[in-house]
Amino acid sequence: MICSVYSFSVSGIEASVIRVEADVSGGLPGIELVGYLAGEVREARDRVRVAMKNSGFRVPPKRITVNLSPADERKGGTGYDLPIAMGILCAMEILPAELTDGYGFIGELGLDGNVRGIPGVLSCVYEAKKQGFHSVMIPEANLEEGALVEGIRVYGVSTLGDAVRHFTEEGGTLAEPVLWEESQEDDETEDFLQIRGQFLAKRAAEIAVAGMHNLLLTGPPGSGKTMLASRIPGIMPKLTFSESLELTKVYSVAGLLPAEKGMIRKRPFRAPHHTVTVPALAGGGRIPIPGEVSLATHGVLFLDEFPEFKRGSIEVLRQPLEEKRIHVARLNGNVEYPAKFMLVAAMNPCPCGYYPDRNRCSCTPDMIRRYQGRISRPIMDRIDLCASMPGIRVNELTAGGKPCGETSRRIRARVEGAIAMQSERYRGLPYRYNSEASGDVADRLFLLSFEAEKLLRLYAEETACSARSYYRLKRVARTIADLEQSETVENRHMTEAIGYRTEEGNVV
Amino acid sequence: MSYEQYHALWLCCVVTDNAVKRRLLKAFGTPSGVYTASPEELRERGNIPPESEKKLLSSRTSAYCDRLLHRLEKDGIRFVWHEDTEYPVRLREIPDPPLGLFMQGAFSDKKCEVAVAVVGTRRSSPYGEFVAKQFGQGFAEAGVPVVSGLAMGIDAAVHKGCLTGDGFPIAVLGSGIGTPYPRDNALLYRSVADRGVIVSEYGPGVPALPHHFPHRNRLISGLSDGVVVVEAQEKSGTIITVDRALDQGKSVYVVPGRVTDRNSIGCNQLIREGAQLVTSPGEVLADLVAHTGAMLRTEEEDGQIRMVTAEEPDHTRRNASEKNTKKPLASDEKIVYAFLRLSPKHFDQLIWESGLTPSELTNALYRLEREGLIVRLTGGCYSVRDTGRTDR
Repeated sequence: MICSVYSFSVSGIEASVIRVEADVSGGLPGIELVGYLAGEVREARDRVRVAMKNSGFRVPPKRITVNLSPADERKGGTGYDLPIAMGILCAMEILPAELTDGYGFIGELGLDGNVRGIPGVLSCVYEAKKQGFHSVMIPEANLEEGALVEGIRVYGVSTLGDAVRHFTEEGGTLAEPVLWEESQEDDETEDFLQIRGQFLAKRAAEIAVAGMHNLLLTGPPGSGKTMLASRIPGIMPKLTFSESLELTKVYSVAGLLPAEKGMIRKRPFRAPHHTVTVPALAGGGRIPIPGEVSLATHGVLFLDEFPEFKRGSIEVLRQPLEEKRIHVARLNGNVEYPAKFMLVAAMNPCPCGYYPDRNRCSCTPDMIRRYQGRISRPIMDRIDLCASMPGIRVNELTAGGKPCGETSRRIRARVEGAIAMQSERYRGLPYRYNSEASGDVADRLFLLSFEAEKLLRLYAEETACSARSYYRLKRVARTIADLEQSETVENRHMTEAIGYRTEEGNVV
Repeated sequence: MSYEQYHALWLCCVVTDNAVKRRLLKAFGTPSGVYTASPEELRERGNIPPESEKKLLSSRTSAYCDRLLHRLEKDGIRFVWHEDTEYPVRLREIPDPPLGLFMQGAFSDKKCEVAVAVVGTRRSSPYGEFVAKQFGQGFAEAGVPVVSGLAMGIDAAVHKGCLTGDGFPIAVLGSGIGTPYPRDNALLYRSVADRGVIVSEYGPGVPALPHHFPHRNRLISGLSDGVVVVEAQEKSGTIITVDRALDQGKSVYVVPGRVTDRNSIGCNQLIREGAQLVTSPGEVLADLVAHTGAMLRTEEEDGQIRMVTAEEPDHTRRNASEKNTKKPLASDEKIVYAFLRLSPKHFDQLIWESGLTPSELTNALYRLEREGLIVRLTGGCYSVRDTGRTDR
């Protein structure tokens, strides 16, 4: 008899439906699996056979053939164990086939019949709902994650026996739907209030976050570049449900979801070391997994010691910075991951780090130029704001009574205001932030005062700046105006934007 | 070119060390004597290092010498032997004068009564560069040739100032003639060669070796009547130049710096040891006039001859204050400008001092920069551009 059940395969962070067909007929006894399978799927044969035996189901001495369709799509991962077992049980008529209609199955089996957790469950459940399944059965371990999807019944099972009993009597846990609450509490240990001085950099960070602009921090060692960068997620607006869902999918696929929490509720801060390889940064591997650029989605990708990164690793950032996603091409097909991060790069101003303090820096102008030249022009072109951070003095650290700044909460309130203005502006357009607006949209929607327009034109002519730099200034000025809730970009906004231009200052 | 000169050129291109050249001449009398000496004689009487000997022996062909000559002609380089009449008079008077000199550009025919050298650190501050430029320009406008070393930092600033003042720059290299070193100065090298002269003891293709530079420094002081020091670190090439100048009996003038800067340590040490403190090019010229009894003069376009005396005020400064009769500044800008100095100040420090918000400050700074009153430097630092405006 031939029977089929449904499962899912994950590619990138999207899943697609896989039909698992099982047939039990006469012939040489044994189980055969077909359907363009990777090694770990082929091994499912032994796991399934032993798990069935240990769960009390006798495997008959017959020819069992299982096909995973579409048969020309490469299948990897261990999530097919449970659907294969369920398919065989249906074909053996232990389980009435019609009961599994409208169900999707995913899960790995142990030899003792236990169902174990797997990565990528969220994407599968999400796809199941989209394809009109009424229920999915997932490992109990992944229940929190699966529960995030509304409008579908999600059952968690811990053994193969449970899964079968679910259809015959009542088994498995029905997931409680998770309520999305936005009240992510502030991280008291990491607040902007703790940063003394560094006004230029703090202001630049605020503008950068408000328009999702990329930021470059330069300063001597110990001036607080990392400290500032790690606090940037704290001034970003709170994650929305859909952002959180997308982020959780990425972490789920990467297998990095924290065990007890079903969902990522904090904006990520990823700070890969400068020896990071291209696949680790961009995503990849034989079985592709998301890289740092994707794990930083909706958060901050912080690259400390920017010039020390290998050229190839930096250049790979070009596509994600431009398209907000990354395409990983591998032998077994292409996958795509989201990469909507805000880039924060940090570097020393010179090899020794103390320039322009000539009492400590003894680098020659040529060395300094060469050091700064290590970052390629195309990448520098994509960095909207530059801020330099001076070495901090002890009397500033102890700031005798002087106000030293604002709390993250207050800054975030302004940022949220600016973002609200942007969502109003880009209604019906595929953009959310000023930094994403294309040139013609910027020309059409950005209202510049006469003086601001004149100033920008004058500046562009004087510095002979490229079209890209021209629009970059325009976008940053727009964000600064948004922070003030100003409809038009005034002269002062434009002036400030020019103040954060990329450093091409004189080396003295 | 005489036969003797031809061999002198060969000798100066093959042997870089002046002492070795001198030994050879003592042994063989003339460059031609060295050229024609047998290998055994060279070895026995020459008393020279083996690698120099090898090079001497292998290069004694007319093809090699012709190639040298051709190269000099192509680049417009002149070779001057110490016995020639064109050999700079001042160098005849110093201890250990170079036996041969290479010169590129136009060594002017007009006799200059006074020449001044301005030297300083390669790792200069904006303040030092500003002062060096002002001195270079001041001397240039008084018609005084300005000698320096065409290195980075102060040297480059001096040459630039001299060119701005339409003066006559003299650059003394520590590397082979015809190749700019460091490469960053390639443009400046060409301008100096066009409008002044480049001098080197070393022939084409000689690399810039560290031990060349102390030797080079004796020529910088040797070609001038006074040496002005702008920014020097404690132990530096600049101090070597000063030592050479004192050996040669030249006057040394020092521009003071802030006591907290490393670049001032050398200067302040020199002042302590008795060097004369100067704050403008006029003071240097006045002192030199008094010392040497020279009459400084330059021919203006209308043919008039202008005398520079001790009373002559420093015109660069006057020019600067005349230029700045522009519209008044807004109050924020006034505040910010008042806090700025010639030494770089960081944005954050200005925030502390002025009490403005970051966005107000960026605005004020940008407007000041546009007005040309301040300079933006790397690392978020700013400094004022002009001294003529301190009255604001």
